[in-house]
Amino acid sequence: MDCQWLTKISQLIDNELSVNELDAVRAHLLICQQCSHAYDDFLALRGELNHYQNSIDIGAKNAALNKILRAEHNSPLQKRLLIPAPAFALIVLTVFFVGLFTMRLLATKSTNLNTPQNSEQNINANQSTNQNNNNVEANFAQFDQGKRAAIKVIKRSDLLNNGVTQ
Amino acid sequence: MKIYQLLTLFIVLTCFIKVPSLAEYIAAHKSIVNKFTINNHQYIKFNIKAIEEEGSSQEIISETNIAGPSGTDFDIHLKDKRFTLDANFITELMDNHLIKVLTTIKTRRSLGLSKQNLPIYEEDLQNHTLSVALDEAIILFPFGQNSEGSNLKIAIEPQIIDLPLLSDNRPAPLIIDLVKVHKDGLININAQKIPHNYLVTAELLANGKAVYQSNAKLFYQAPTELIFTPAVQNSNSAPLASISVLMTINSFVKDCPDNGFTINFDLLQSNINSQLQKPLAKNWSGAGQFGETLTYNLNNILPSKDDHYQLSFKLQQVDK
Repeated sequence: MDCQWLTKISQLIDNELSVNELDAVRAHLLICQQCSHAYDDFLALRGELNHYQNSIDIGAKNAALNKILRAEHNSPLQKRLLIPAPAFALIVLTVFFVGLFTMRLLATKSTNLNTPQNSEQNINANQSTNQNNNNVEANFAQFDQGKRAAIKVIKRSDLLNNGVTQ
Repeated sequence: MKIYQLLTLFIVLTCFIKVPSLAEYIAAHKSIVNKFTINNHQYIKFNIKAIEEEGSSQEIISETNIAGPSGTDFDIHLKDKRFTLDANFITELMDNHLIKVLTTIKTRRSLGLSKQNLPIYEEDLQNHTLSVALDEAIILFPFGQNSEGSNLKIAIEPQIIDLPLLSDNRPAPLIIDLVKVHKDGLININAQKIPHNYLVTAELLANGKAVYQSNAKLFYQAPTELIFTPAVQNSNSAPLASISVLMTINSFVKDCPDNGFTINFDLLQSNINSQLQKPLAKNWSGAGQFGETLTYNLNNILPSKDDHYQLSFKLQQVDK
């Protein structure tokens, strides 16, 4: 394909030639077999392209369109968060300093609880906690009047006469 | 099927049947007889009930049955947030159908916290020796007996029962039957069978030679006084003449090849004039195996320039 008229053939198909050029190219097509084949090939290709575009299924077109539209309406979690680097660094620093401050505050509070000034309150707190625990767990507290354990031997009939119920 | 075919089948079948020998017949007969012969063994059973008493109404909150041969011991543990009771019962069925019971009751009661925020406890230890008939019951009040209001009491009722021997003529093992378990698991019962009767041979030695000796029977955990008699005539070891020992076997240790024990004892010196005993040494202790000799040096408490005094014990198990 080394005919110099091939460019003109392409322009002919695209209707880009002037009237004078059009006559000259058409005259050349009659005498040049190579350009005549090229002209036929171009026409055939354009025909196929036109046919392809027309044969696209409308359903498939709609599905593709819907897909594009769904992508635009994705949930916020699925969207990529785009934060500028300086803003991201600022957020990280803020979280770090808030955490540091909270830890220091907690450490100061526990130190204050162990100081002598608060020991009495601490004891009272422990006592009340113990009392609360005792109320929950001391099942036998109702029997305890601070007396010493006692043991004795009795006739078995005296025990049975008390009418033990199960 | 014809007769000769039946006969052939019979002969073939009898070839596969093993005919037992006379000895095997006798052994099988004996085994059947043994199965139906009941060899009873006398056991002692303790029914242990924890009872909550509120006025005239009573409720059993825990019940356990223990059965074992004579000499079966048991422990009762009661524990709540503020109070702990450990009661140990060593029992022995005597010939007169009385049960000898040695009991140790330990209690520990929380009384709160000190100014220094330390826990304060009240502890108590009691030892009792009881003699209980079979129509009697032991009543233990862990918190003491309140004349008014509510009481918690633990009733222990002994009973003699007959249990069949095992197939090899051994007595049945200990039985612990948890009839009713305390809903919060605050009351626990353990039982064990260990030997209770022991023989001790004690000697007071001067320069390695026994000058006084004592042989005594000891009952497990019962303090017993060992009185010494001269082992040789005309002994001139005067410092040893007035000495006696108050000994207790504290624990029995199952061991191999020989079982072991732990003891503690006080060394007492009698004053002939006042009939009083002065302790020369208190709470000395030792551990060893039955059959071996434990020796203690007495020169620290009986100083002498010429003589070297020693005390030795050798213990033996009476019942296995």
